Amino acid sequence: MASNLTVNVHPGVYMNVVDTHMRRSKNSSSKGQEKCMGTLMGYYEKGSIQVTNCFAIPFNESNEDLEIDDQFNQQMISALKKTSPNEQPVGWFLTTSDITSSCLIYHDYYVRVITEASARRESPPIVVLTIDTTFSGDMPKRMPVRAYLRSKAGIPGAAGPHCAIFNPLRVELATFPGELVAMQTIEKALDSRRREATLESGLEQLETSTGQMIEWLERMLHYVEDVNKNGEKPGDAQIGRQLMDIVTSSTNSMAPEKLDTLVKNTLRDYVMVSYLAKLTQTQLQVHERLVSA
Amino acid sequence: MASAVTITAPSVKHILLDSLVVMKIVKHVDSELQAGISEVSGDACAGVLTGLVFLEDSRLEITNCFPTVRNEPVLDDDANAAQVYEEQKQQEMLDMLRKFRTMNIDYEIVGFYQSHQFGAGFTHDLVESMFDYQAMGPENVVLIYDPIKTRQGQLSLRAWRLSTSALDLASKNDWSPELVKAAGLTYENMFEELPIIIKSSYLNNVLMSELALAKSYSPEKFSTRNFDLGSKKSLEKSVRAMMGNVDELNKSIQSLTKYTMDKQRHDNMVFSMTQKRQQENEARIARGDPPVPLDDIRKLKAPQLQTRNGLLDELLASFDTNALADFSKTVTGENITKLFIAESVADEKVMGTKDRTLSSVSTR
Repeated sequence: MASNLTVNVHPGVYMNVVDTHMRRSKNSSSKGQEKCMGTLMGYYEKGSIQVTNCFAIPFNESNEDLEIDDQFNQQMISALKKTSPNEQPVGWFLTTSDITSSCLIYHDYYVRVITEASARRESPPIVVLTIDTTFSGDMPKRMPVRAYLRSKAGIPGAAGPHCAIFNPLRVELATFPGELVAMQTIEKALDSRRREATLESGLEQLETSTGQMIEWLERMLHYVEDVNKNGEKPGDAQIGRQLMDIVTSSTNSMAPEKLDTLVKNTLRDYVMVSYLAKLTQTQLQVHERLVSA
Repeated sequence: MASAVTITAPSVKHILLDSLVVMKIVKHVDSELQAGISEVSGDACAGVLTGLVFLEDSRLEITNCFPTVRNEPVLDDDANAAQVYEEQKQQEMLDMLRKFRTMNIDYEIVGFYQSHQFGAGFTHDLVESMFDYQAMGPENVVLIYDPIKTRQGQLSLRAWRLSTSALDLASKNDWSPELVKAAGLTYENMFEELPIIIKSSYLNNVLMSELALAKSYSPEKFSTRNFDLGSKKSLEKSVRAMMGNVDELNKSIQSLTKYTMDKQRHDNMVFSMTQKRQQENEARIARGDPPVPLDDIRKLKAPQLQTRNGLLDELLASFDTNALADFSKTVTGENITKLFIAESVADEKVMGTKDRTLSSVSTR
C-alpha cells in the first residue's frame, strides 16, 4: 500500500493537458467530447513519482463503446523514448471532475501497457491524474488537480477482490530552475488584457523585483508598528523570530567592511568586462565598415 | 542544397509564442542538463516548431513543438548509414506531425529551436539548417534558447532568420569575398531578429492562478534569483568563449588579407603577360606567323581563399562574438546596478570613503 507517495508534476504537463482540452474535437455524436485522456511520462523515485511529460491520445466514449487508440499510444511512447530515454510511462490523465466506472477499464488498459513497457518485474504504481477543466465540480471557480492510485479492495475472507478503490495521493508542483523562471514570465500574461507577456530586459526586471521588495518591507513595517502600539494586533512569536533572523543575517552579511571589499573588487571586475565587451563590439563594426568599403 | 530554390522575401514582422511552447522548450533543455547528457554529446538540444502563419497580420504563431533526437555518432564504415539515418529522422518527424494532426494540433512546420549557452552558437551547421527550413517555407525561424541566462532569472529566447541576401548566397553555397561584397552583406544584416510576444489562453491563465496557490510553489516563487550576485563563473566562461571566437576571427582576417594581396599580384601578372603576348602577336603578324593564343595565360589558376566556406566563417565568428558581447554587457550592467542597490541599503554613515580607485586586492 504505497499511499504515502507524492506525485510531483511539472508545469509543462499541466499546460499540455489544458492545451489538449482546448483542442478537443467535436464528435459526430450529438454530445461533444467533454473529456481528454492521455498518457503521463516520467520516472520513479524513492517516495515520489515525477511526472515530466505527457501527451494526449484519441479516445472515444460515445454510448456504450469505450475505444482507445492503442497503436497511437505505443508509437508515441517509443518516439518519446528516443528523445528522452530516461522517461517511461507512469500513468494517465483525464480531464474530468470525478472518477467514474469507465475509468476502471481505462486503468486496466494502462496497467497492461505500462507493465509491458516497464523493465521491472512487479508492476509499478500507476498514477491517475484528474484535472477538472469543466468548472462543474464541487469547487466552481477553481481547477482542482487530484491524483489517485488504484488498489483492489474487498471483504476479507471472500474469494477475491470485489472492487477497486482509487486512493488519493498528494500532488505537488516540481520545477527545474529554468521552468520556474519561465512560469514567472508566463504569469505576467495574467495582467495584460490581451493575455500577452513580453520578455523583459534585465533592468526592467530588477525594477519590478525591487518594487516588490519595497512593498514587502513596508508591509512588515506596518505590522511591526501595529503590534508595538500597545498590542493593537497580537504579536506572533513565530513572525517575531523570523524578523530577528532577517535582521541578524543582514547585519552579518552586510557588515560594512565586508560590503566595502565586495563592492570595490567586483565593481572593477564588472566594469572591465563591460568595457572589453563593448570594445569588441565596436571593433567588429569598424572592421565590417573597412572590409565592405 | 538545391540551387534552383526560389527565394521569396518573408513578410512576417513579429512572433506570437504560445506559453506551452516556452514551457516545453525549457523543460526539454533543462531535463537534459539535469541528466548531464549535454556533457556527453557535443550536440545542442534541438527540436521542431509547429504553428501557423498569418500573412495579413504579418505575424507567425508558434503553438507547439517537439524535440528531435540527438545526432548519434555515425560509424564511418558504412557509407549508407548516414543516408539511412537521415531518412529515419525524416520519417520520425513526419510521424510526429501526423500524430499532431490527429490530435488537432497545428502540424505545419514553422521553424526549429536550439539551445546554446549564452545565446551564441552560430555555426555553419546552423546556417545550413536555417537555409533548409527557410527553403521549405519563407517565414520559418530559429529560436535560440539560452539556459544560462534563464537560470540567472531572465527567460532568454531570441528568434532569428536569414536575411534575403544571406539566403541568396546560401543557396549558391558560394561565400567568396566578391559575392559577399556585391550583396553588401555584413555580419549585422545577415541575420534578422524578430520580436517575440508570449501569449496565454484564458484557460492557461486560470491554470497559472491555480498553480500560484499551490503550496510548494510559493516559497520558490519569491526567491530573489534576480538579486544573485554570484554570476562570476558564467561571465568567465562567456569571456573565454569570446576569446576563442576572436582567435578564429583573426585567422580568417589573416587569410582574407593574404588572399586579397595574392589576387592583386595575380591580376597584375596576368595583365602584364597579356600585354607582352599582344605585343608579341603584333610582331608575329607583321612577320606573317600565326599568333600565339592567349589561352594558356587565362589558364593560370587564380588564387582561392584558403578557408572552406569563403567569408562565411568570418561572418559567423563576428556574429557569435557579438552575441556573446551582448550577453556580457547586459549581465555586467545589471550586476553593477545590483551592487549599487546593495550599497544604498547598507548604512551610509558606517561606509568608508567612496574612493573607488582603491582596491583591497593585493597587486602582484
